[in-house]
Amino acid sequence: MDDHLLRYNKNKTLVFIDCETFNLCLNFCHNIPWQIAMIKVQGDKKVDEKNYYLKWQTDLKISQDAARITRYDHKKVQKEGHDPKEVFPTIKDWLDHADYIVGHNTLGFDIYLIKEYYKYMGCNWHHLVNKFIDTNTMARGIKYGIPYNPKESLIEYQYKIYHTRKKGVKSSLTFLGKENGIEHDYDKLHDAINDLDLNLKVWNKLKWQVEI
Amino acid sequence: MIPLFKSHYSLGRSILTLEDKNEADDYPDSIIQIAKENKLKELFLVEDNMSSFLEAYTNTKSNNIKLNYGLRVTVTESINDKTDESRQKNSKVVIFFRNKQGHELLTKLFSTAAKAGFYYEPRLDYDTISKNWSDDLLLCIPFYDSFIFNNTLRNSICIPQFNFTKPIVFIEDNDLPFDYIIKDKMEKFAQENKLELFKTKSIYYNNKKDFKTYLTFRCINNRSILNKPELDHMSSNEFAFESYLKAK
Repeated sequence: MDDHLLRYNKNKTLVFIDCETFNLCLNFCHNIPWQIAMIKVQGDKKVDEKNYYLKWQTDLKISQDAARITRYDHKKVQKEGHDPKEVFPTIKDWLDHADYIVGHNTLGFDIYLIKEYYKYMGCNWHHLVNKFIDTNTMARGIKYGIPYNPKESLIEYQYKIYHTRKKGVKSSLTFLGKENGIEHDYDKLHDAINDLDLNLKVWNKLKWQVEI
Repeated sequence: MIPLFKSHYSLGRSILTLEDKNEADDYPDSIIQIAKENKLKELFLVEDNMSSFLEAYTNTKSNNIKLNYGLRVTVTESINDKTDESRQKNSKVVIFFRNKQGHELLTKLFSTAAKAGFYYEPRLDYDTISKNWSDDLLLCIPFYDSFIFNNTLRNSICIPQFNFTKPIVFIEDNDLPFDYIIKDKMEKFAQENKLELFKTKSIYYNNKKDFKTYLTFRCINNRSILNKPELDHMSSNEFAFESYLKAK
């Protein structure tokens, strides 16, 4: 009866994405992603992963705080970093062919960096918008007691929750992980692939609580 | 497409002035200067209050530019309701005046909004607007923060009452992820209610490269910093006159 729900569908491809950036600005005029990590998921399982360090021709500098929080390693980025133009085709291929693009706070942050990256490469990004699932808004929707009605648009529901602020409601990835009793190496957070692994574990809990 | 300018008189919302100057210099760009440089015969100015009117009127008149002056104001269910819940019923409308009588009516309406209706911001309700309405005014539904926008993307419950006039619907495209969602809803609303629909472009700065200056200005007003602006969805550099020229 509920076979149509995403939780049972092993044929849908979900791409989890996380961008580590120089700061929290939403436009490339002052911010760029120095790392983009993605994991490809079918059912409950990770089937592939990509982790790119990006080396931009830029005068932008990462702040000390951001470097500490995001574990930015300048030498590693310089040594292992790719030209953003070189890795974009793979990122685009993954996102364009995903049934859903999942991330934590994607609607408030990552979507804008992805949009800027597509624009930088001269590509249209609008077809991606309806694919986004933001685990932060989905978790908050559950906590607020505002369930998703499958008859309404998922993206509109998520924006409604995104714009609803209630005091005392915690929904960070770490909090959700610990709250749901998820075993994980929490000391390694802000390592992009590690974050995505936790994001997947959180999603695997959340998806049983929403009618998607 | 109609360019809808906003000046720095709408506090913290635009970096454009209304100064009468002929060309760009080291100081902030002026809407009058942009109008003269681009030979605009009329100007659409949509402000969040009415304090710019004198300078806008004086400087457009001396340059033979027709001024269309509009007020972007909050409407709520009842201006007497000053509770937190009432804020869920807030949305924006734009009211233009067509002539001197219209100017007097709009001034009176804004005065009511800023005194009797004030709750965090000047507010009107549809009852007050309809009681003071005449054909000297023109009601428009803006693209952002209208009842359609708020009911769709925010948890708002805004019930419009346009029984006193036929509003004009504005649609925009500023390359924000939710623009197409709102555009579809606005077009549907206009079609169902047989309303006129105009493509518009809100303009807060001259060139796309000015976005960083605009963002800095917004951050200062928000007491935040460029590295952490804390301004929802502040990602588009399309609110520029340059974008209007490209899109028109």
